[in-house]
Amino acid sequence: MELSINGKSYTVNGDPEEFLVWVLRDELGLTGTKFGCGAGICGSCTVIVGDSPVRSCITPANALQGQEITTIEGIATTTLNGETKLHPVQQAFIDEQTPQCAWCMSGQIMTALAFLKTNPNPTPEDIETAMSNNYCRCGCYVRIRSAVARAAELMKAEQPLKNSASKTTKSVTKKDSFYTATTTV
Amino acid sequence: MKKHTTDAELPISPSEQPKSSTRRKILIGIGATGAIAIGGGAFALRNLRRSLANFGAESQGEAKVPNEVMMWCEISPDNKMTLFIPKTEMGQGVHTALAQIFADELGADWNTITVVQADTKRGFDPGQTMFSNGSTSVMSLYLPTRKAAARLRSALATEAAQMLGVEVNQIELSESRCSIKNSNTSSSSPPQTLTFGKIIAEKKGTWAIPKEAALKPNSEFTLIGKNVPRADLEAKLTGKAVYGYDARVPGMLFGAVARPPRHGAVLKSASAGEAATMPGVIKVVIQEGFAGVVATSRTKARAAAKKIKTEWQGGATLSSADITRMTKIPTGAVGQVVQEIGDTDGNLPKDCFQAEYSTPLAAHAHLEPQAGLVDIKPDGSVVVYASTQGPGITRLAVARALDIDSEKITVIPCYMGGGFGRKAGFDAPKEAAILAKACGKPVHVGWTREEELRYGFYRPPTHQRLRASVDKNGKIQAFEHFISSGDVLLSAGGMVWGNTGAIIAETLATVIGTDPGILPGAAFLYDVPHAQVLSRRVELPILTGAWRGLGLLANMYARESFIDELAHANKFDTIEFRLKNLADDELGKRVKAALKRAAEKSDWSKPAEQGRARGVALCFSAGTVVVQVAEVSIKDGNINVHKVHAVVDAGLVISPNGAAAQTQGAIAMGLSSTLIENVVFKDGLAEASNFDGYPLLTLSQTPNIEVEFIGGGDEPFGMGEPPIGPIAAAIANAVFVLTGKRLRDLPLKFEEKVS
Repeated sequence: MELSINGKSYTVNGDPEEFLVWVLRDELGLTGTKFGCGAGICGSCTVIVGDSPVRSCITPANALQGQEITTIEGIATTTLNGETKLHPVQQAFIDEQTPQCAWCMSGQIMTALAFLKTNPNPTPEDIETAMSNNYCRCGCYVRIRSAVARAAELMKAEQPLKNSASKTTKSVTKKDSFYTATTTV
Repeated sequence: MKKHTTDAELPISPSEQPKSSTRRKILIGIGATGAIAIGGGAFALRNLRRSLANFGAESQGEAKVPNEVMMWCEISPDNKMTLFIPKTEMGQGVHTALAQIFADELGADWNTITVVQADTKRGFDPGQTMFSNGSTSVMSLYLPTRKAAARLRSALATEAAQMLGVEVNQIELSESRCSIKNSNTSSSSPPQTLTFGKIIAEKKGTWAIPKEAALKPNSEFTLIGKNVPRADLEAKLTGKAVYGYDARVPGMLFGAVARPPRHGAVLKSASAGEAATMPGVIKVVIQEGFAGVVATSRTKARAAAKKIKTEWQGGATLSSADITRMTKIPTGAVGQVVQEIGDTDGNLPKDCFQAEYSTPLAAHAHLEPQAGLVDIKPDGSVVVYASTQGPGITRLAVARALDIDSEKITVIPCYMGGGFGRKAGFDAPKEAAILAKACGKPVHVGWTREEELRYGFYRPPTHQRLRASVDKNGKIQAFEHFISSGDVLLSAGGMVWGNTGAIIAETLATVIGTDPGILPGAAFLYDVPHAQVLSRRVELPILTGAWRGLGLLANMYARESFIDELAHANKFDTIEFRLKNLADDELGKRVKAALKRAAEKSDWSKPAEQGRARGVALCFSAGTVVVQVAEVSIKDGNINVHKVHAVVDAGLVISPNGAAAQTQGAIAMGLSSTLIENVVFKDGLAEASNFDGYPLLTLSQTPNIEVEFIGGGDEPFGMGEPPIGPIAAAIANAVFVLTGKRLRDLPLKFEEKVS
């Protein structure tokens, strides 16, 4: 069985009906996708297939042949001088110092990324709805809200061409709340 | 800052590992009262028992750490520094906080530092210095970390002075350089500055590191108390960080274990049955009390483990109603006195105000189920990769499973996807060890969600009875708090050391009369002439143990709800009532300051907006004072929490943004307990096998949480657990204001009257 993951083709030799999460993690070594419940509830295992978020713990790998699978390992890019350039959603989660244990965060980020591609101008209520099916036991929810809002800003700033119809590219200022909030957060 | 996970290749220096006493090890999660002394006759014993309510309340003193500077760091010729952090990282940010402390005291350039988790060979005591528990990591290692860094700073300064030809008092250290004070760097003058890397690379002969060195004054802190980006986030957010469940070595196989139909049942007999011939199965392993499978994939191992023919004996048969009945304080029960002020029995009228509260069994529900990988090398040495809070107890458990000496085992603590006390356990690495030994290959065992919810240990249920009398002026005259709870720490004795440990724990329980882990938050904070705290240990046939804050959430839910009841019953504002009843000693002043600030921040003096109400609660734990004000509304019978203000006096806060994250996270976790969580047992097994039956709090149920730190000082206090204390009571108290209904059982259920 062949799977296309993060733009690369992988040959999978194991059971083709194996759930994607175990193919990614145990067979291909892509352990960035996390296992949390095995029932499609907690969202830790979320990957993007095509443009849609998919719970890899309940999705047989062979159902995804011929489709493009994106995991957390595949969203940052490498610059010409070999440095890692984080995806705006990853960057936003760092800017907001969102994660604690971060086991759920691959799923949070993939969910947010798929969501922001369909809704680049989310309201706080939109974010609330989109992100309420992913558990975070450390309770980083307050910062997931702000990180997704910031990610929307960063993604728009990265895509000036797509926004050029309005000819106003929103500038993104370095968010300073984290760096200045020594007493109040 | 970069971060990787292991330092497996480093040499061991076992002589530097101080042996810890068995007694102390049993009391995992221990705070200031860790040094409980037993002996000295009946009078000493009486005093000991009467001081138990202080368990976990005070700050923990400085930890004893081997006095070896270079255990902490390595500096390369290109001036890059690797910091080895002993404490395990479960998301609490301890790697960052301890790195800040070391780098600040040394004068290191934060941007050149890579933070590395020390493994058990590094030289730190795996049982204590490496064990993350009880909110103690920063407060116990603050001074040892600074002292080690200061000694290195002094040695570097001495060497730099020689190399630069000046007196040592002319050298200053900052940004990983030793420079001549007030020097200019004109091109013709001799060099005025040397990097740490250059000094170390060019040093001839052996280093003389002083036994002690002065600490820098707090006014010169450059990193302590400042926000720095966490050390671990980029690795975690790009999928590169290695957690216990992610650990991989070449040739590894996957293990799964047969589980009983009832919690705590013991394997009577087993045979491989169908499992032996199932696809992918390498070996079915059956030993006394254990049946498991090694296979080429997790799914195959799990499928085969279910097909092993097993017969079980014993175990729990009870259901939730039985647990509630066993936990309930029987009429006429006499509790173990764990705090006594004045003569409460003599001053508490029979018809005094009283109320009873309960909290249920709860799961830890860390999203990374526990996991361990055991690799037995041809030379007999063993490497264990595990998501563990306690590398020492994990190493011990693996040593027992393999029947070898602990010194042959290196535990590499990986990142944990949450811990919350559950990862002080070690089942997965122990099971991996048994399977790896049996099949001769490295084996990884990662638990499923069902295993976590059914076969681990739980936060114990509690039942609490409070009684008090209040005079006309609103001063509490006499107060009694009776806490009945399943075990928290004593259960660890059996878990860690089998039957011997269980016997020691039982003996300890008999001597001290209770389980100290039941008691965090129990020490009576208010200034009253007569107060007593009583404790009753409930021995359940279900394994219960440490859960974030131990008894703190349950005890503060009951205590601070009841204080609120007293205020309302006597027609006082609930903050005013608390202020009136707090002492004027140092702790009382800290609590009052936090209460007043919380009142200001929450606009307490102004009414909440239409349809909402506010409630307040507080706690004192691990040296830290926390006050929370919650604002709630109720719609269609659902309690909605809109906002929580938290005011925290944690002394010297090392990483304000990280400490705020701990506060927000603890409140969210506590809120989940307050509104949702309850492990329901039926016929000896938890009914819920996954999150469909045991849901957790989601983002849409989480309020805006504002955190403010006050206080300050020279000493950091605990941050991981204290903020979970007040939230349940703050919400229940707000619900009372809104509805007039006092909710005395967790999770809170509001049923609107049908008219």
